[in-house]
Amino acid sequence: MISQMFSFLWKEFLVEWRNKSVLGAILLYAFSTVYIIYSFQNFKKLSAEELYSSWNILFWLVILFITVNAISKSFNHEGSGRYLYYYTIANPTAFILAKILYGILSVLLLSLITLFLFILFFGFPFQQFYIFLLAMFFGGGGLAIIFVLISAIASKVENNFVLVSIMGFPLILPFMAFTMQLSELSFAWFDTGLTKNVIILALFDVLLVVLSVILFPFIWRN
Amino acid sequence: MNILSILTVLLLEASNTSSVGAESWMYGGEKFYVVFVVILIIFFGIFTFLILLERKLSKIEHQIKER
Amino acid sequence: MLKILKATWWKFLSIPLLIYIVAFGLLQPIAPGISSIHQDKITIGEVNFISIETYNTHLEEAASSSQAWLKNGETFICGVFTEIKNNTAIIGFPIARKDYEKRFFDLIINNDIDGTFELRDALVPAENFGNNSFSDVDCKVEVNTNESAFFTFPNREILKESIRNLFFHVCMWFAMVFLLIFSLGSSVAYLNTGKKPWDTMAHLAVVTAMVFGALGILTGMVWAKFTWGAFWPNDPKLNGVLVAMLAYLAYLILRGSAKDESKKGRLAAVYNIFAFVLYIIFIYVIPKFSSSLHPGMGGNPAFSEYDLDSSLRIVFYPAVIAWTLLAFWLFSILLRIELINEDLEDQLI
Repeated sequence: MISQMFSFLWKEFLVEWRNKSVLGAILLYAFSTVYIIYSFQNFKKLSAEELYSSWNILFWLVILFITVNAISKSFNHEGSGRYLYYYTIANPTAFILAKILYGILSVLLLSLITLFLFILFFGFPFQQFYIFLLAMFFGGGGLAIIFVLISAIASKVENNFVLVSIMGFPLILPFMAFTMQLSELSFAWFDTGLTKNVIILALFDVLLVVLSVILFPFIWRN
Repeated sequence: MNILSILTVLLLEASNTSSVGAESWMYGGEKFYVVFVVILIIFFGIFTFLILLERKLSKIEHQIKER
Repeated sequence: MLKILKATWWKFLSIPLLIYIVAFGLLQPIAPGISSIHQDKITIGEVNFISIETYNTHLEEAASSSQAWLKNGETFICGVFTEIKNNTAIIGFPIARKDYEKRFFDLIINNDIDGTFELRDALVPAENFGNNSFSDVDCKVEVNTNESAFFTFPNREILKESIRNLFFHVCMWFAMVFLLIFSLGSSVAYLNTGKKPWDTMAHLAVVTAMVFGALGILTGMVWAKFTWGAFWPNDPKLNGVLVAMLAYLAYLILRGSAKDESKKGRLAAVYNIFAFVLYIIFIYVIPKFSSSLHPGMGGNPAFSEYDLDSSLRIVFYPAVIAWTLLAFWLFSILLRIELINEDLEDQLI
């Protein structure tokens, strides 16, 4: 099963690599959003405190839309014939785990790029940078997991891009709020409740993976 | 619905309070009207649900008659 | 399961329960309290005549046993009733000292019929001082408090009579959550067995739950307007509930957009389970562990506060059962109509 998972993961990389336009589109998307925010003049006039909170909110907004764009396509290129083929030869757990792993990796890569862009354009406001990286890892990872399962459901239905947003946004809203509270700590000097929040977020990610693994076979079956 | 409004009036009479100054009528009677409005909303909600059921039923009756 | 849903005994159980909670919940008086006080400043060095209006009290009948005092920290200042009419009174308080422990004075009234009731932080010392000089008399010795002679609901300062909404508004949410749990169970059963009625049940339970959720939101908005002053105060509980309703609306949209019957059922069931787990975690689990999400924010009296009060509890628990039973009753009618409809469609094919 592990080897199957890695071969699926490798396949995802290959598909992505051969179809560079998708990756390029998302990168362009990230760059242009950050640039739009930068070119909004009032943003530069904010006081330090206002800047931190808007930094946080804008960053997570950009990450959210990048995630939606990156992940919602992940099941699109699998035609129904290919599904049937996988179904006969592969283990659904390996398949979904590969998708989730790939989703997490791509979201982390994209959010690192976005973070770099943000620092480039808006400066480096962090007091405790590692907290932000933690929030990015667990929060961004959780986003990726939720959207992988949602897009798996949506891929079985017509006009699915709209459905991904409709089904996904209510589910990730509280999750985002929680992640943003954690990442806000990185702008402060203190770290009260940090370990507890990180543990909750990590447990939550694990729960999401378990749920996806249990539920995915039902989506897969035809 | 009638019984409820009578109950409300009775209770308001019994408690014999007057609303203070220029506050809106909803604050009068020590906010008893809030409870009244809440119950009204719930009743309207349940009636709406009943109308929905009614329409579904008549659609089915129509279908059965046609066959 | 269908057999229980078609049975009638539990539906009839909801009728006496509903009559009980509506009658008891509306007619039972709330505890006596001071509803308004016609000034909020007192002058030190003078006898202050304070005119008050009380609610649900028997001041005139119990005039002989009436006592009033101002409390500031450990100091008690006795008042003299100069005029009592129905439920209004004028009380004179001699205020002598300038150095009291706290800034605010609590006004406390006691009589044999109504027991003891108070208005916290009722009065503040004024800027100017009076001319009379007399020594302060601490009348702590005479202070005796007693319980009200009636069985009443608590009289909370901002809630007042609207505390009765506990039996109506809050129960809407309970009915909704129970229906959603039922829907979750049906979805799990559908994924396990693949039988069509389970899917219909899950779907219609969500529809009914949304009706009750909408009622909960509407009634909550009215209640919030007249306790916190805004139809939509920015409270985590409200936002969480709105998000949950959006998630379930997405469930209904998902059902609407899939064409193949069995595929529709399976996808919807998967989404239902996923949404329910996320919903439960965010509404009930995370606020308990996290210091950063406040369940009692914005003057929201936390639920445990009601829990302590036994007079509310004897109506509240039956109310939860009654509204839940009513919700399931409505749901079972909707379900049976839909099942007949499906039968008809099958016969046509």
